[in-house]
Amino acid sequence: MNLIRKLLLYKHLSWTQLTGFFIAGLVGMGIVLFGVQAWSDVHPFFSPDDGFIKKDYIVITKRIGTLGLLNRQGNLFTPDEQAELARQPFVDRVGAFTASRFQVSAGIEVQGSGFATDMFFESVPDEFVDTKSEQWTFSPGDEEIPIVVPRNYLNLYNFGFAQSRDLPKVSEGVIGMLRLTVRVAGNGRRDTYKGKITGFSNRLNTILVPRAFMTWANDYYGSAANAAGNPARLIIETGNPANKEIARYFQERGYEAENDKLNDGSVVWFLNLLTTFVVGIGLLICALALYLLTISIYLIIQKNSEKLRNLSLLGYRSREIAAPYQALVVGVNIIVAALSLAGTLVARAFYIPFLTKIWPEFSPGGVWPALLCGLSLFLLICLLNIVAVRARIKKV
Amino acid sequence: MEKITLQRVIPAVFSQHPPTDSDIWDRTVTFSKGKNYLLEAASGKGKTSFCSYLHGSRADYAGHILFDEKDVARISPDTWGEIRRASLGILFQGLRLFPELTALENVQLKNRLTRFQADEWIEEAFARLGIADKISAPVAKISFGQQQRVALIRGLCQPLDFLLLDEPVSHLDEENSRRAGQLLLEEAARQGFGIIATSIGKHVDLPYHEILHL
Repeated sequence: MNLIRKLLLYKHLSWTQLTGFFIAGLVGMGIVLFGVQAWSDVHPFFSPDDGFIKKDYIVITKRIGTLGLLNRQGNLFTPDEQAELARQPFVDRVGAFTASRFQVSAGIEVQGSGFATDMFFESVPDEFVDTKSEQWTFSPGDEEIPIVVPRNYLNLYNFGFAQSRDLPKVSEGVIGMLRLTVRVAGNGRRDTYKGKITGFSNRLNTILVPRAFMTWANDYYGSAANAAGNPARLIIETGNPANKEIARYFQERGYEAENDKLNDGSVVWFLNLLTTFVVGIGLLICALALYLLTISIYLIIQKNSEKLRNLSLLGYRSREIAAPYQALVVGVNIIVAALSLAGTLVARAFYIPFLTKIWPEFSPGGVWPALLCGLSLFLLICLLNIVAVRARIKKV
Repeated sequence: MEKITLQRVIPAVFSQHPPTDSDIWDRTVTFSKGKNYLLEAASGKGKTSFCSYLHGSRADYAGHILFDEKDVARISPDTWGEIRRASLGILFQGLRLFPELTALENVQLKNRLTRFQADEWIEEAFARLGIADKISAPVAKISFGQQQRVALIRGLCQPLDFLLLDEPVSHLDEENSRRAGQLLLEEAARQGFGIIATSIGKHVDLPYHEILHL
């Protein structure tokens, strides 16, 4: 076989063309693998729950008019209104916000001194919470209450307050380590809990506690006087928030939708677009490299057509004649794939520590996306080339 | 393969004016394994076409060529490969050697495919044909007569039922022609194959069973 290789390849191989393919293939495959790997590493951070991001949520309230001052029940949703809303075709699910019916104050104590402020809690059914974690539970007797605050609050501090005062910016990870002192009073009872901020919500512009805590605490601390109120805010889940029917319905009833523009959806959308673009360019370069390799092998075959014919007259089969060319293709592609993969892993070793630094809770995925992608691209390129070479040799 | 039969074969170029005095064209002829045939003809009578038709590299003819009972027109490319390595050999007039390989490599290119002759046999054949000193020379650097002998050795590196010789000794002197004939006959006796040789006058010295005119 090495005689055939000597005969068909070494004398006619164009090293410049081969180098051209090699570099183009390396760049193309490198971009694809890096794009796929980087996307799969970063993507989970932006979409805590893949299924969630596809859907959209709208928080609605009743418009508060001047009369609202006089009529406290006027801006609340009655059970009938809630049931009617749930029957609308554009509504997948409805959840009510439950307000706390007891006094809450929260504070931070650092070495004996600290400050505290009056505040409130709200809760929604757990399936509407976008930053759920295992800590999102409460049962009576627990000392700690998990709390979710709007991401806006953190941004407000980091980019407004801290920026103007030259104070250090804090990450979500640091906030998670803080323990708030939460004092709850009502119904003649008074207790102290530890509050732990377990997440930041883009969707829910309120201070959230688990529904389990709210139900129990409203019962335990809530005064009978303001019991069993109707909710002032509802959250609905819808497949298509751009549905005109929604706007019309809200208009008719005098409901208002809270804007939820700052959501992960657009970030993820942008990330996906960027990745698609980058990977697309990589694939294009790969395709061009493949084309270059195929053309240069066709050229060698063309130059060797007389020899190929003579070999065939000696009794060589077309697959035996094609074998050296195919071996060359596979060999070069193995090197290209291995180097691109190595390059991707090296680049990853640089960006992982960087990401970990800016997002403490960042946990990188495995390297299997790059591996899998590299392997399938390698197989695809080899297969296409092997088929092309075989077809070309049969024509000689 | 025991016999090759030509049924009214006529090259496409002759179809307008079929030759009337040919023993081959437009006739039914059978070549049997184990016999030696000589085809004599002036140039332009279609000797090389005849060899190419039988060897399957050209098909520009009317009529039928049968290997035993099988029409060669229905043989697939891969089966041709099988036939060319296991039963039908040829010495091309143009030799079709690979000039960038050495004489020995040219022979090995065939022998590694068939694994038919021992390395010793090849070396001895080079010696017997008087080209032992050219065994490692690139084919491009040796004379046409020497190349003809390399091609002959290569042609014998496979099992054979028939061997086609297209003017095999055109560039050999009497002595070398005799040695080549000797080697051919020995192999033919060992394997029992048939020889179909063409010639425009000078021909390899063999005991021919039949002499035909194209």
